[in-house]
Amino acid sequence: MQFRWLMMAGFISSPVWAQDPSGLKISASVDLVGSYKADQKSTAEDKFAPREAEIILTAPIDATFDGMLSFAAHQEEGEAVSELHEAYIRSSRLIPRSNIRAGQFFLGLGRLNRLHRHEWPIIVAPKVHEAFFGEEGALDSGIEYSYLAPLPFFLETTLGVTNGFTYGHAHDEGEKPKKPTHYARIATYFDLPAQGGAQIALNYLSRTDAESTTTTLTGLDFTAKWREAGVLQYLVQSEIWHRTLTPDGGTSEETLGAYVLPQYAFDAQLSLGILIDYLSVLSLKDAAGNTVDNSILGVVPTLTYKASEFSTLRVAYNHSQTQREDQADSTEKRLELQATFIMGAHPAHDF
Amino acid sequence: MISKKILLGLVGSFWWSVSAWAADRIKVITTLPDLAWMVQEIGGEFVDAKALLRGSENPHFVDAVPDFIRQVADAKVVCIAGLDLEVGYMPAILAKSGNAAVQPSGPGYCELGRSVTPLDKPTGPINRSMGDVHPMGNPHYFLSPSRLAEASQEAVKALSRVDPTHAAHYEKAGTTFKSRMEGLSQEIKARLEPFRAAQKGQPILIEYHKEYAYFLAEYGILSFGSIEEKPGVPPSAGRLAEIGGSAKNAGVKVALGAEYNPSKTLQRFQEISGITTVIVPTMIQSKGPVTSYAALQKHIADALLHALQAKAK
Repeated sequence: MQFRWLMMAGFISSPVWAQDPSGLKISASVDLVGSYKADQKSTAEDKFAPREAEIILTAPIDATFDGMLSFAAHQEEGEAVSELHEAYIRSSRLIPRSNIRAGQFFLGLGRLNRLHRHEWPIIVAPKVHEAFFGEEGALDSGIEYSYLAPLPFFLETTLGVTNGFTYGHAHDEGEKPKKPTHYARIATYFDLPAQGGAQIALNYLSRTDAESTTTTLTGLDFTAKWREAGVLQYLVQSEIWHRTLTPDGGTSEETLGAYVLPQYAFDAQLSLGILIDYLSVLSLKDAAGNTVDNSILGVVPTLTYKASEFSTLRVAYNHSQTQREDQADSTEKRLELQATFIMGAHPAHDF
Repeated sequence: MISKKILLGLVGSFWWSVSAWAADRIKVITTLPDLAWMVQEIGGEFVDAKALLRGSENPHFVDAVPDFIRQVADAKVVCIAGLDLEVGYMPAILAKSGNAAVQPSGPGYCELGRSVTPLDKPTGPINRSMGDVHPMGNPHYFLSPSRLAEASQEAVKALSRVDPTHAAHYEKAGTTFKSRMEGLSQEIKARLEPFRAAQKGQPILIEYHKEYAYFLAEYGILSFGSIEEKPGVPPSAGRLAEIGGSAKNAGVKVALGAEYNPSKTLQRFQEISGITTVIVPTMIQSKGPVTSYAALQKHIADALLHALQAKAK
């Protein structure tokens, strides 16, 4: 039963459909990951297995709309789960200077949440992303509108409203929220010296669930790239997020997280990045009501080999330290591996 | 320093927008500078053409930079080289622009490669194990004046669609452009006569990537092939040794590469083979010696001749 969607996708992606003259483009991406103990205390599973396989279909629907459909099978707590991933209709031809999409999609918020996981420059989600958006990202059904301001510089505003029955990546129906998930992103771009460019964006999201707990996220995402001779020579990617969880009549919990990833390419195929990753519950208190200092700090050097844009091999050493003032520190050390590949059509990349 | 550049960029963009608006000119965005130059030549006073690229980039690998999206959103016509050259970024830029007129189904969309007779079009089945093969043929036609003249037909059509009142002007300018390209082709052909004579029926030139194929075909220059074994795939040490040895034994005298080809690989090839490597631009550039199309053609021709003469000494 769980593979029903993938069987359907397999039928749709048969060669007859793949040659369809209507502009239908089909691609499949496979993401394999491994995690191995680097010391005896590590909780790594010591195995290499598929994390996700995804089939993506895109096509113009008519003169106004395009369609996007993706199915994914992935491992969750040791079990294979198949599901409809994204399914939306979109248009850049309906309203001038605007993009609109309706359906189920990853929310157009932040940096990593807007990218499919096989496009990430790292293997495992930074702690702040996992804590605030889930391992993969926040996915929901709704409508999203983006507007490009008529200015002599890039300024794009994105507004979205989604059902909000669930948040993050859930497999249940959830419950009707008191306030649906609503979000906004304002992004701008500027040139940097030596053929570089940077995009910076402010983000906001809020939702009040069925139990009247309000989640509010504010964040900043930043991406800078320097491309020389067609090679992405330097990449700097960063996000910083603050979350407030306010239960009905209760005390708010405040959490702050951030990561920064500088990456350098030795040549067109080999690059080295270092992810520095931080998360802290700012409002954590002990039984006496005193604030307790706490943090998780991760450092993840990651070596990437790309034979082409369609295949990637990665190896990373993940070292993270959990510190809490009233407890002993703990350290997690693991070796991570990743192999991803894409077959068939591959859509053009965003910045 | 950064703020000065940003300020200059903003002022430049703003001035371009205002000047086109004030003069009621058609704003045309092209991907490559050579295409912008060609469209400006045809459009004349009725058009303001501007390229997204500066001319020094590898046109295969470009990011869908947000500022490109903004420029495309403001354009009335968008001209791309086509033949899948810009497939990695232009679909994303066009879609994000929210500009219905320049989408592939819109009147302002102009795919110049449609009018070009392509070289190196694969005849059998292709797949990615063969490298970065372009199913529609080699997209680097803009280095050939006669192919650029063929491509100009699409620009004439697009300008006439969005500005029918000046269609006669664009038609006439297109004809004039073709004549000028014929003249330029004759001039460069004559300039390269010593190179052709030195060939004696055998290729004395090798390319890194087959991006000069149209230039070479235009002027009757034979190519030994490419240093790359598969297009878009950096050659292995084994391939360099093999192709370096065979090119040397075949009497190849010049290796031609672009500024964005891997310099260490070209240097290694030169060490292995003893063949002089010539690095030249593939597009008009905003500064330096090749700020016009004629200058670019002459620059490449002169670089080849110079390398041949140096080899003869």
